[in-house]
Amino acid sequence: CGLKLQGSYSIPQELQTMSLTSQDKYSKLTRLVHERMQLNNISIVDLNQSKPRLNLISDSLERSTLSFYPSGNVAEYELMYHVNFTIQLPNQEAKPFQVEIRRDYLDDPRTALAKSREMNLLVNEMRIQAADRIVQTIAAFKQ
Amino acid sequence: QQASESEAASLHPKTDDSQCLILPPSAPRKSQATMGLNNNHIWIESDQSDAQMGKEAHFSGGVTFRQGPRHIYADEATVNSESQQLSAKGNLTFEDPLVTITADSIEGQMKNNSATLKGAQYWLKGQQVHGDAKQLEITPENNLILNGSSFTTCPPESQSWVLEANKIKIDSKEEWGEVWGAKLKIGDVPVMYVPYMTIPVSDKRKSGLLFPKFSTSTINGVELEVPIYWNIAPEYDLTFTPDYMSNRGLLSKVEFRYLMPGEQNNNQNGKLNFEYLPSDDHLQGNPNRYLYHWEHQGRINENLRVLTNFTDVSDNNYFTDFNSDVQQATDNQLVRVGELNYLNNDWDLGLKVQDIKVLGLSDKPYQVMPQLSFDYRFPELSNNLNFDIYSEVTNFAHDEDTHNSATRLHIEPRLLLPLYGPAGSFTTELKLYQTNYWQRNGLKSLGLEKSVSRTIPSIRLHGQVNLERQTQLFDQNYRQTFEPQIQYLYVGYQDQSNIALYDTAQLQEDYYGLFRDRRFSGLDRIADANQVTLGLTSRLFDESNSEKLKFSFGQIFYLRNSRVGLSNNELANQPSSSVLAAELDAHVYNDWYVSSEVQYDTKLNETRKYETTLDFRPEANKLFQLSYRFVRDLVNSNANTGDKVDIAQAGTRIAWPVKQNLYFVGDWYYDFKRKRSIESYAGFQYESCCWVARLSYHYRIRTNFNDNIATTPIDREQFESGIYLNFMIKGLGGSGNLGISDMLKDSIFNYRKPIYLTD
Amino acid sequence: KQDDLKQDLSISAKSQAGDLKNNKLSYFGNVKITQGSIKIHADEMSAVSDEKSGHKVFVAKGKPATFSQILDSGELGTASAYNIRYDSISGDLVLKGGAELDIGGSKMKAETIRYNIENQHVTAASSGDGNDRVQTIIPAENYQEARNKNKKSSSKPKTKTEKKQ
Repeated sequence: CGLKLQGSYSIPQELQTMSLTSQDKYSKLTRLVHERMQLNNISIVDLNQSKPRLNLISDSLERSTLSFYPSGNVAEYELMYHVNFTIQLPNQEAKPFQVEIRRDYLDDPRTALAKSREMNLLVNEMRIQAADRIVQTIAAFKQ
Repeated sequence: QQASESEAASLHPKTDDSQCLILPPSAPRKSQATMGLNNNHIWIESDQSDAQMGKEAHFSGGVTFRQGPRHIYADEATVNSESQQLSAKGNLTFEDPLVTITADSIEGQMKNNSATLKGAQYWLKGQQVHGDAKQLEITPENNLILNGSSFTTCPPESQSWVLEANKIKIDSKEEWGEVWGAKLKIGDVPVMYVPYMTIPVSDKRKSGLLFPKFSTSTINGVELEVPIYWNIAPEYDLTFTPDYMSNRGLLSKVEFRYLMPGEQNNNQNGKLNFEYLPSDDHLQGNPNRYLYHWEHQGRINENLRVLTNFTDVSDNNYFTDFNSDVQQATDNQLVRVGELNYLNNDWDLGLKVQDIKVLGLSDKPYQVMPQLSFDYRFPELSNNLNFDIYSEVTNFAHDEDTHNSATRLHIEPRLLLPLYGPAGSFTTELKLYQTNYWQRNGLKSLGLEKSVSRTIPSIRLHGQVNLERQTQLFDQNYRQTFEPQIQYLYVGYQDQSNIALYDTAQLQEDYYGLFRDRRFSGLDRIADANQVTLGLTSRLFDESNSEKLKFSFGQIFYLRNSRVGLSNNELANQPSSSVLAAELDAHVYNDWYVSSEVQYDTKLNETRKYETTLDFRPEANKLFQLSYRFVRDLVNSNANTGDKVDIAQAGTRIAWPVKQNLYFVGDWYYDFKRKRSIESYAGFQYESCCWVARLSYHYRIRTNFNDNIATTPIDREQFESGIYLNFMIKGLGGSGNLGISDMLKDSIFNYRKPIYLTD
Repeated sequence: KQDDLKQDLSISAKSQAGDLKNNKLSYFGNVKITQGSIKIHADEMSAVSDEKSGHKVFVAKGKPATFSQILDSGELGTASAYNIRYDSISGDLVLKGGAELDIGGSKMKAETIRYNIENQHVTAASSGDGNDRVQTIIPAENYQEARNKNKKSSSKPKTKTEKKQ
């Protein structure tokens, strides 16, 4: 049925060497994006005008309600993790992008402390997903 | 499920609002500045001039006067070089980067750049703000002081509202204005008088001056909320909002916000909230209702982040009954937390204290007093072999003496070897969980021991192959990928029944949970595992290589049942495989998106959880969404009766522009189990050039918590419905449209609570 | 300066013509006149003087003709125009055609400028057809400091302050 092993990461030629800058250079997201880029063998160089640049602007987390118990108490929440970033080719306008990752999780007030630990776990998983999507956006980048 | 990541369609449309643009009168004549000019010269062009050198010079006939960025056009002008005074009159127009003014006359002091104009009309540059003033003074610091003045953002031909004031001071740098003796007139009917207030003069600070909110609801009765915004200083502002409810009384809300800007955006900010309603008439015994809240967050420097958050309320149903600025009833917890995180390239250090007050629940969770975490990442040993150590020491305390306290030291070294290539990947992960507990005043009856040491190894092997092919769907070329994954997980066994549960609970099973190496959150239970997870992901990429569809499914096969559970009866009849979890996310066809998720129990042949959402998002401010959720056998913990209940809920959301500046937003959520609607909302927003009016009907379920403030247990209303009228000024800071993003937030399903990330 | 008119006057030119009947002397070609601190330079110069009253009227033409004088305040005043007419009794200097005047940093440009050296009174007018309007520049001394205080800019530009008399 025509299936064959994926030959390359399909990262566009001009984006295979990039600089990575971030408003928060020690944040977990920055580290994860750095790792993911290397795994997709994008070589990361220091910021310079002749190379394209990935700039992580901000990440934020929000929670909203998904469903209610008959009693009116909340049954499920939804976590939304947003990342705003730009991709800029040398001496061209930086193009803004936004990635949004959603995960829903059950609420259980009797284990509030455990639920807050679970939320941290989910946020880390969502960051890994966001890093993957950012690399995918690089792969799909067209001027 | 996850939304596709195309450039987010922002909800701020760029509709044609040319008729809203208020253009100040343009300069009456072009200047022929031929002579070289620099900033410290005054340049004057006129038909005639008559000057006593060094003293007074008089110019007449189309005088154009320029000093640096300032231009003055008049019929005649007089400049006294000695006193550096300037005066001009007759068809006078004054222009500088901040403001355009037409006036009868001007007296200027060229030495310190100040000027006073009489009978002035002013237009702020780049804004719709304009008005007139009997006397307008430009201070040396380039601020405007207007006496006997008016202020509006409405175009002259449709002056819907105007703010008349004895005195207005506009600070050009901070872009806000102070108003003394403000009288708001709608049409020309005076509606509101405020002795002193501040108004944002651009959208830099507060979005639009908030105007009265008027509503009637079945519970609070007639309600009037009038926010007064006071910009104390560039870094502080305060909003005082009296909120009168006919059935309850006057709730006063105060929100004080502060900024602590640092260099290279190491900023910190925070806010303090006080809300107080003396003797609530609606409740038996007229209790006082109050709230106080403090939050502070930010970066002290490049490495150090800080977060503190504390909230307390008079009773559990405070957020249910009132429209608080801090949170809504759907947040059923008051988080009290203090965190300091020091982040670095190779290691992170975190200090945290946390106590959670759960509304409506008698037993309280353990308090983390404190927790110190340290995560060290060794630089890459050999080619991509990574080694890191996560460790934390936590001291758990509890108010009631029925619960024991404990100190837990946990060290988790991890060796990771990811082999990654375009054709696939193979990851080996070796972990050792080493945890020591010192449990104090442990209750022998619960089988807890004073000191426990737990050492559990874990091995995770994950392999993935990436296959692809070209294919055609609806005569479109796509690159289709097939990515089968297999993971083997082995976790050692150790009996942990002698450890109490401090911060541990069952993790939810979804597609991403299939590949986790943990079954429980927290650290008090590490489930032994000997399982294989099979999964497959298939994607479709279009010609420009952007992902159009992603479908994944997987299941865990337990080679051996886990012998670690939260309570012993749980371990009895364990299934031999997990739920079959699947997820679909697709950008189906131009603006249609679908995302859905299902968890199917292959043993009992029933759906454990199913949820799907269909979105139609053609452009900004246009949204049509259908959603359905089904979750089986959820334990309704609040009712702590432990009975299991199913959730079956459908919802629809619509946002649609009806006319040029009239939007409709509506949503409706229905509970199939109880055959009743949970929320129905219908709102119209009319947006003219300088004001926005929003009329909405909102019927919604209320989140009630057990409480004991009222003298007799009252049966709280389960539903509330009301008509809400909201009026807002617009046009400060550019004339873009407000859009309807904040109207969408009215719905209880759409309220998004921001959670500050400190790492 | 005030006593310029009492100094002796020297004139140099390529050629010279005299019309004794009307007491008119004319000079042509690179005409230079100096009297005390007054210097006049023009292509063509005519001087009509009345013996009895000592009333002299100079008319200089050039592209442009220039006039300069050191003022009592020590500053240099310069004037230029296609046609400069100077009347020694009234002290009026009338510049016509692309007239420019620069006194102590204050500059003026117009079709015609009338400048009285004694009382320092200046009037100017455009030709009325709108494209050669009167342009005046007045140095505002500490305008620069006011702007700096406003902008708190780091570098402080040097300003040359002209003294006013």
